[in-house]
Formats: sequence, structure tokens, C-alpha cells
Amino acid sequence: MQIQLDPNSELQLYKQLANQIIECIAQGELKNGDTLPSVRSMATDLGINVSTVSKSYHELEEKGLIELKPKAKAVIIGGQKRELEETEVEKVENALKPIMAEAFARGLEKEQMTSLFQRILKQWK
Amino acid sequence: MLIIVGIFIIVGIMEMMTPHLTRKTLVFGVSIPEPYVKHPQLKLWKKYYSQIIAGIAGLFLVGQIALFLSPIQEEKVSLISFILLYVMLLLSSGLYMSYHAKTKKLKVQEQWEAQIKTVYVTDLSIRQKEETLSPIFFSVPIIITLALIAFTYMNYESIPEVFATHWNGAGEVDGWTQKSRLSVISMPLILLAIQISFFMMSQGMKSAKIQLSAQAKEASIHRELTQRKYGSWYLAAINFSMTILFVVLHYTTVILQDQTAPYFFPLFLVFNVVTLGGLLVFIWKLSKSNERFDEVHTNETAATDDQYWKWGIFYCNKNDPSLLVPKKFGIGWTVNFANKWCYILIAITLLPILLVIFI
Repeated sequence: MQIQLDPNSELQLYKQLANQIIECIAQGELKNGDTLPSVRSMATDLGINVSTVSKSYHELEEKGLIELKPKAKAVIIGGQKRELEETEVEKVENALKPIMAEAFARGLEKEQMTSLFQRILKQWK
Repeated sequence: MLIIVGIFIIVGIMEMMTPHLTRKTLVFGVSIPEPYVKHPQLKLWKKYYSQIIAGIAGLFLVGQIALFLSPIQEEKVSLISFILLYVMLLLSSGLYMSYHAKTKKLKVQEQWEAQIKTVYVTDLSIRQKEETLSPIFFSVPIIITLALIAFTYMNYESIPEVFATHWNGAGEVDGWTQKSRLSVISMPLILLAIQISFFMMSQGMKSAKIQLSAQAKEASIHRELTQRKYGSWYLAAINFSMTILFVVLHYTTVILQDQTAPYFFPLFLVFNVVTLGGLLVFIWKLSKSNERFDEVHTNETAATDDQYWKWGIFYCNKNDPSLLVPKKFGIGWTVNFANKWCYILIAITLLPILLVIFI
């Protein structure tokens, strides 16, 4: 469950942090009910700004993956198997479509794309 | 005499070892980027520091022994010994400051920061793996002391008008105190103050920030966890042995009215053995878990927190919610001056000294 953020990456720090936490949830390392460190202690452990961590937690909250509770606690609520609502599936599809379209337009074969998909999915149990 | 000579030797050895006990990424209180931890100049300076300290300590030890052999009065000797010890500590602090400045200068001169890539690292599971002792271990001694205070007041009538409160080196009483509602519990109060500060410290250790290194992540996780675990064990060991010592001392002198019980000295000895032996075990465990940086592959390094430190000694970071932070030079912990609780901790620590002076 190691987190490593690279300030030279074109992806903003808060986005990197959110992505890595999401990946931890997907891999099952962070389970439903686990708590994340508080915004301030996460910021000091990493050595980054409090506002950056806060921004990333709020994004995760918006996505419905964590729940921010009083006393600066952040509890994971994602990761469990449940029936997804129609709109959520649609959301994923909308987000995925441009990325896949871009890859296809760049000349990636459909088979390559499926195997890529499977390879990524295999990382998550 | 043996005790004082022993103190000089122990303090000297400790001071000598200090630069070698800290994390490799911290040299004389300056954060060293990971690709530079094996810089030959740093190694040399650490060696010089130890050698100079050894020289100073040796000199003071000889002076101390000469003092004992000279015909100076005994009371004056102990005073001069204390002054000598403080001068020695002052000299080593001065030496530290000079090497701190030198290291800082080297870092700027060789432009280390321009040649490295800072990354931000942490581990989300580390706080679950932590094995610091639960607060119960630090609450029980407090409860014992409160019970002792209550017990003392229950027996208030039978306490004599004056009772022993001070002993000389030979174990004879040389200080007596008038009985009053406050004076009969002064010893438990001192104990209580220390226990409360220990309680706060144990909590502070748990929540203190965890800084990992970018190129030796597993090793730095291991070290951080070791420091927390054995730090809290050591604190608990001192806490319990001190509680036993104080409770027995108080109970025997004030309640049983026996000022010269034969078990005082052995108890005192046990307390010292626990304090010193525990420290040695703690240091041994820590140095075993130190990151080695045998292989440094990239120019990556973890972010530093130098901007929150003054001289590598005082830490003040208002974004850091924790009370304690691992020291930058030497082993152990120091307070975060941006945390309001630190002033309470300092006040509690000073309270026993004030009590001793004014009661």
C-alpha cells in the first residue's frame, strides 16, 4: 500500500494521490471500513500541503469511495460488491469512451485493447 | 565517586555514538538526499566529531578523577562535577552546531538539491502494523499514584509532624519536612506529573509522523516501526520501575515511618539498571534496524522537512498535528512547538523541579 507521488509528472499531485488510493481499493488492499490517515497526518507523512491531500480526499468523497467523518476521519466505503446503478455504469462508460477512442484512433488493434483490459483487470481481485 | 565517573563515561560514549545512531539521511541535523548518503566528506566529519568528543570526554574524565584525589571538600566536589558535566555537554553542542553549519554549506555548495528528484512517499498500512503499547500501560501507574494519594490522606492523622524527604549519598537522612496537607503528598505529586507526561509522550509517539525514504522503503518502514515499538516499551519500563520506587519510598517513610529501610538502595539500583539497560537495548534494536542504502539506483529522494527545523534541534510545523517528532540528531523524540500541548508537556516536566525547589 505504498504511495509515491512525483511532482514532475504532468498529473497533479492531488490527482496522483487519489488515483493511487483508488488503486489500493481496487486491489483489495484497502477494504470497506478501513480508515485513511487524517488529512493533516497524511500531509505531514508525505511532506506535501494539507490542501493537496484535502482536495484529493474530497474528490474521492465525490466519487463515493470514501466517507469523510467528523474528527478528520476518512473511511473507505468503496470496494464492496454491490449492484451498480444504471447511471453509475453510464458514468464509467462515458469516462472510458474517450480514452478507448483515442487509443483506437492511434492505431491500437481491438485484440490488443482486450488483452490490455484483461491484464489490468487481473491485478485486481 | 564511582557513580559520577560512570556518568561521565556513559555521557561521553553516548555523545560519541550520536551521529552514527541517526538515520543515514540525517547528518548533523541536516537532511541528506538519498543519493548522497555515502558522501565521503560526511563520513569523515562523523568520524572527526566522534574523535573530538572522545578527546573532550577523556580530558574531563581525567579532570574529574583529579578532582576526587585533590583535597577539596566533598560538597564542593559534587558541585564542580556538575559544572564540569554541563561544560562538557555545552562543548559538544558547540561542536554539533559547527558541523551542522558545515554540512548545510556542503549541501548548498555542491548543489545536491539541483541534481536530485524529490518524490513524496508514504505507506497507508503502516499505522495498522504499529505495535506501540496501549494507553492502559500508561494509565495504570497513574491510577496507582492516585490511590496512594488517597491512602496517604486516609492515614493523615498518624503521620508524624516532621518526616524524612532527603537522603545523602550514604543513605542517611539529611532533610526533614514539616507535615502539611500538601507536603505529605509532594512525592506522589512529582510521580504523578512524570506519569502524566509519559502518558502524553506515549500518545505522541503513536501519532508522530512517519517519514519513509524513497529508495529504502521497506527498511525505513521497519525502522520507524521499531523506534515506535521499543520507544514505548522503554518508556513503560521506566514508568513502572519508577512507580514502584516512588511508591515504596513514600509508603515506607511517610506511612511506616521507617527512614532507613535496607531495601531503598537495591530498589534505586534496579531503577537505574532498568533505565540504563533499557536505553542500551533500545539503541541496539534501533541501530540494527537502520536503513543501509547498500544500493542507490536512482536520483530519487524523499521530501525533506528541513524548513520546519531550527538548527536541526527545534521543530515547529503548524500543519503537523502530532505532539512529538523523531529527533533529527540523536535518538529519541522532540516536541512540535506548533502544537499547544507541548507547552503543557514542558510545564509538567518542569513541575517536579519547581516542587522540589519550593517545598
